[in-house]
Amino acid sequence: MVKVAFYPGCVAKGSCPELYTSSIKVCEKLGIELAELEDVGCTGAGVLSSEISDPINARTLAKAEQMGVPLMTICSTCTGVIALANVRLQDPEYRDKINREFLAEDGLEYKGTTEVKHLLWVLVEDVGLDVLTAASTQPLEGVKISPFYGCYLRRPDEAIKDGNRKSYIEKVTQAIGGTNVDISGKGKCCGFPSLTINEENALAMTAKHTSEARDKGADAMVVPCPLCHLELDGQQSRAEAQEKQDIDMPILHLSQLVGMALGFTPSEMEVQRHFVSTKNVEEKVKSLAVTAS
Amino acid sequence: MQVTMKFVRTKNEDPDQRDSFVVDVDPETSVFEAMSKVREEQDGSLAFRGTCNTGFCGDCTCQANGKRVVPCLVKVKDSVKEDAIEIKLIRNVAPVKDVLYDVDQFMWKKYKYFRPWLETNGTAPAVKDEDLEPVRLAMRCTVCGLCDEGCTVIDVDKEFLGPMALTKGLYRTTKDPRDQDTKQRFIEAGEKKGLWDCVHCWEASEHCPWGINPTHLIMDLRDDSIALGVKSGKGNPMAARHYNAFADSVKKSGWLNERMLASKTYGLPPYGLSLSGMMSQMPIALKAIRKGKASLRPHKSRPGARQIAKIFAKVEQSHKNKKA
Amino acid sequence: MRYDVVVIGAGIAGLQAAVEARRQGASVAVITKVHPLRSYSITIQDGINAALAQGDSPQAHIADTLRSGDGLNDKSVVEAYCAEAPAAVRELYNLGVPFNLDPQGDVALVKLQGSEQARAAHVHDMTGHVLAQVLYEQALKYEVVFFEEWYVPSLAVEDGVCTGALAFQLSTGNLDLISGGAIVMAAGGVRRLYEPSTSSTHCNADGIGIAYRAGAQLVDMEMVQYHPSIIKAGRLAISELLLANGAQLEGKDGQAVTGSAQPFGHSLARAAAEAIASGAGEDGNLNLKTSITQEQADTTYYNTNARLQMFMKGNLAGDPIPVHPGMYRILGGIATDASGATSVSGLFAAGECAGTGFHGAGAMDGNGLLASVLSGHRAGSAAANAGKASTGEASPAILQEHQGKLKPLLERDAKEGDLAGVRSELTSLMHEKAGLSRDAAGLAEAAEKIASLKESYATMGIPTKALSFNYALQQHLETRTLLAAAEAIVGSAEARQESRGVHYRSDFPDKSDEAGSMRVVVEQGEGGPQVSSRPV
Ligand SMILES: Cc1cc2nc3c(=O)[nH]c(=O)nc-3n(C[C@H](O)[C@H](O)[C@H](O)COP(=O)(O)OP(=O)(O)OC[C@H]3O[C@@H](n4cnc5c(N)ncnc54)[C@H](O)[C@@H]3O)c2cc1C
Ligand code: SF4
Repeated sequence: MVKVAFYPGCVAKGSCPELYTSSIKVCEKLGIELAELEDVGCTGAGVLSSEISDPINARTLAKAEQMGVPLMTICSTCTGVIALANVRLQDPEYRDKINREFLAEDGLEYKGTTEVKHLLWVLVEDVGLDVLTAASTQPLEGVKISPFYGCYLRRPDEAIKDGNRKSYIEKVTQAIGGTNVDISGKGKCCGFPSLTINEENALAMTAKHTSEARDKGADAMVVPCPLCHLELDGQQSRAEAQEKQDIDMPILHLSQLVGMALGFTPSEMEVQRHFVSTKNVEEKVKSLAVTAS
Repeated sequence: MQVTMKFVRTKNEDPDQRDSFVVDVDPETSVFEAMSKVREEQDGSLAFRGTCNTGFCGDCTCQANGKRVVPCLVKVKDSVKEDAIEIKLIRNVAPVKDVLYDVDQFMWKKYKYFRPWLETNGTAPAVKDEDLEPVRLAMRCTVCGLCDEGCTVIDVDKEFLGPMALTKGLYRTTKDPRDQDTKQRFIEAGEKKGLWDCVHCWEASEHCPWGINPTHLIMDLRDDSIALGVKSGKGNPMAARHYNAFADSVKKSGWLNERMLASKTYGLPPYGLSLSGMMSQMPIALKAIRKGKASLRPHKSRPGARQIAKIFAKVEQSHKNKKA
Repeated sequence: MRYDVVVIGAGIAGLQAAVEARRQGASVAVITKVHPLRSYSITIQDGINAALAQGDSPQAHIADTLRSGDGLNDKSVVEAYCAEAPAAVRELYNLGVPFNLDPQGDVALVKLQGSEQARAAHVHDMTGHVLAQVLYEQALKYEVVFFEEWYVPSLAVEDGVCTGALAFQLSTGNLDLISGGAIVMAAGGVRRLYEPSTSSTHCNADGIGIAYRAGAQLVDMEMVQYHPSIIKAGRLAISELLLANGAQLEGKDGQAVTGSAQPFGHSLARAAAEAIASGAGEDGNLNLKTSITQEQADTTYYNTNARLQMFMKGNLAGDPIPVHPGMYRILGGIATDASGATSVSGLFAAGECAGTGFHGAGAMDGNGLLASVLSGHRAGSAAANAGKASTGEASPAILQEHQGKLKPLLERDAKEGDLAGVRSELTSLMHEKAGLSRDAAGLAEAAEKIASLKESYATMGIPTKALSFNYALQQHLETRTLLAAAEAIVGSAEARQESRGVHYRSDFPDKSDEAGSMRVVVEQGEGGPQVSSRPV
């Protein structure tokens, strides 16, 4: 049993409710005890100036520190932004300043000890791949999955800390019986951060990654970040229009993919909320379930 | 040792061109020296750049056996595979001949966009040594282009000004306490294809051979620009609207209200009535409601919203003081 | 195309000349075969001297410079440069050079070898890298016109007056004529004449060779300075700042190797070469040991240390670094007066290709960058005056004449590798016979060999006919300038029958008062170099 301070992030509680539901179910099944942090703010998502987001994140880190457990997110962007703030907050002088100016008046202090982890890292490092395999009552044999990390689970090194983490998705898909389909842009930006600022670029990125996955024969892409999901799934039809091509690439959250291997049905994982139909994956999973029983 | 040097010769019209050469090189010397040896001894028509041989000039960047490198910094013995090294153009560039590309379009033009000289008014402000360290960091850049080569945005948009120019053009000047034109520089940098088009994917930082961390510098530049009240250029209102809407939402409720973010950014009801915004966003919004992605329930504040609002107030006050 | 001033070369000297000429209101074009920020100057790590410290003075700077120069300096130039140095360094700071500062916020100064005072301003270990950038920024600000990746094979000289430069654009191969009211030659040094030597493939004695072939006088060409500590991979010269901060050379059994005279680096290079020859080395290298901390290695010496890590997984703080001596700069060049004017009317020279007399027989550490900046400043200023006053324009006939010469070169039968053969013979010949130690027999042999290489060169053509980026053509022309500089160096070294500064004759190991009162001058003659002399 591993316990974490759970930071779901804004999007899992907003436009990607399926991520929240599926994550809760998966964690429950794997024995990850979630103590959800309520009284915490948005990480800033790399949008807000770090002058503002560092104090907000220091507050969050301090709350997790009080609980004495790692902070777990289900969003790469949250992971990256908090982890980078955490790196800066290791500097005692800077940490003192933030504590003094922003946290002290609420009786808080961040001592610098909280570890920040993404669900993906918890799956591999705390649950263990063996346990994951053993718990996969419905291994995803024959399902071709294209891992898409996006930016923040591969870089920067000081936030990722352990280089092995850069290939964890592949390890997880393997552990649950799936087949990996590698694409060249798996560690590139999905386009989301540019969506309002330079839409053309954002959609071009989306089209590039999703069409490459399709060309390489993937049944679905899997993402550890709801922003990647909003982009690759939510904007895919507009990317198709801009780039004048059909793509139809289903995008699954990491939790949904793992959940299906653990025996949850696709609808329990709320795939019906997606924009791009996940029918082909659903059918594959259903037929696996039939053969399994 | 004997190495077969292979060159992928793009845009070379010579029908007799050779692309494979065996040279005798010391495995301890650089891939660039091996390339030069081929050109000097066996084929003077081979085109590639490179002068200094110690990684200061940044001119020889290419792919060697599939790795994007500054070849004078890589030893032959570390690059060679099955006694061969294949030399190829980097990505994201317009080829001119063989391994030589249009570097002006790729980098120098973008660098010049930032008016990369100091604007001073004759008064020399008192400067501390550590104030100049960021300037030194940016000037360490050798214009090798590996950051732009790996840039996610340049990958889809060749006009994006890119991490190299933002580093050596914008960061170098705005971080210099002797420069007197910082705010205007941020306004110019905030136009489309500039500072706000970066998607902070951290590729640039990963690719820079000199630890300059261009992505960090870009994020730092944004902080500086915001502190001066510049959230985009005059012709690029979306960037500023997005920032303001995001900040307003977090300020108000402690976390992101996506509905409000989209509406404010695109100027949709109740915050506006932009036709283009409606056209592009309405279908998505309706679909989201239908799919149960966007809820119609009101956005609730976080328990700590008041504390978070205080953080905003303090930082915004310090920005006001800075501007004054 | 006509400009008041045409500068050839965009290293520190060329950029400084261009900026100064623009400031004085001249129209300026710079022709450079590589992008300005790819010039050799950007590899310079060490500092730039100026008497800025409390207790220092231009007089003390002059005294140190003269000591290094060992009696051959042009005293008036030394006096002028040392007096101008403090203002020049302050100006560079105001233009945007982020010099390291001391706790008071003044430019921090380091004591380099040869100086009695802390006198060198620096930007960590990338002073040249940064100076070139700031001067390039200024050139952009002043809207200097750049002909980037244009190669100059020859000067246009009519009735003894230099009126422009021939140049071809590397991307098209088309030869053009760029006229100037005044021309500043700032095309850098001669490193590719020697092996071993420091890095950079573009230093082919272009400036010296072109001017010599156009009839200009060269001076002090026998003064070729070596660096004591070059690492093999990348030919990186380990910063002189380190030697100044107590780094030591050792043989393989730990025996110390040290220099005994000024300029210190060169004398150490000679001692190192002797130690290696007598078996103290390992694989031709000695060990360089520093006493710097890891923090210094990561900040002040970042550029050196990061390269060491890439090249040899070495670390300046702790690991012994295998190094060997190698040639790195020439002290003589195109003879100029204090303003930068050469013996050819309308032609000025600055930077490493200029023989200003500032260094004399030995360049003190930190004076090289200073000379590039100040000679550029002065030549730019003088050329602006001359260029604005002149109305002349090079005649089109010159272009036709040169186009006519180039054509048969391309048509001639040629074999790949011939030119490379000439060059490799030349580099080892120069190092062995005209390098650290010279004697009459060796120099005579070298002169003969160079003459025969010139003969075979004259029959060689260009195997590659394509016009765009025809490196073979460039290499052909660069071989010509290398051969020209080689014969001038050897001729001058033969004439100086004594040992002085960096010039060492094993057959004349001592100084001679008579020889020491003269500077050796060379001009191109019918059958070879015409050597003469003039009083110091
Ligand atoms: C490792 C190292 C360390 C050094 N350290 C120091 C030091 O600490 N202090 C110091 O003072 N000096 C130092 N030197 C010496 C220094 O390199 C030179 O004095 C200086 O670079 C000369 O500058 P420059 O402007 O004359 O020429 P360069 O920087 O060599 O520039 C030559 C320019 O001429 C152009 N060019 C050449 N030929 C042609 C042609 N045919 N047509 C068109 N353009 C042409 C090139 O494109 C280039 O722009 C060092 C040298 C080395 C190698
Ligand atoms: S920032 Fe780094 S990677 Fe980018 S051009 Fe400069 S040296 Fe190269």
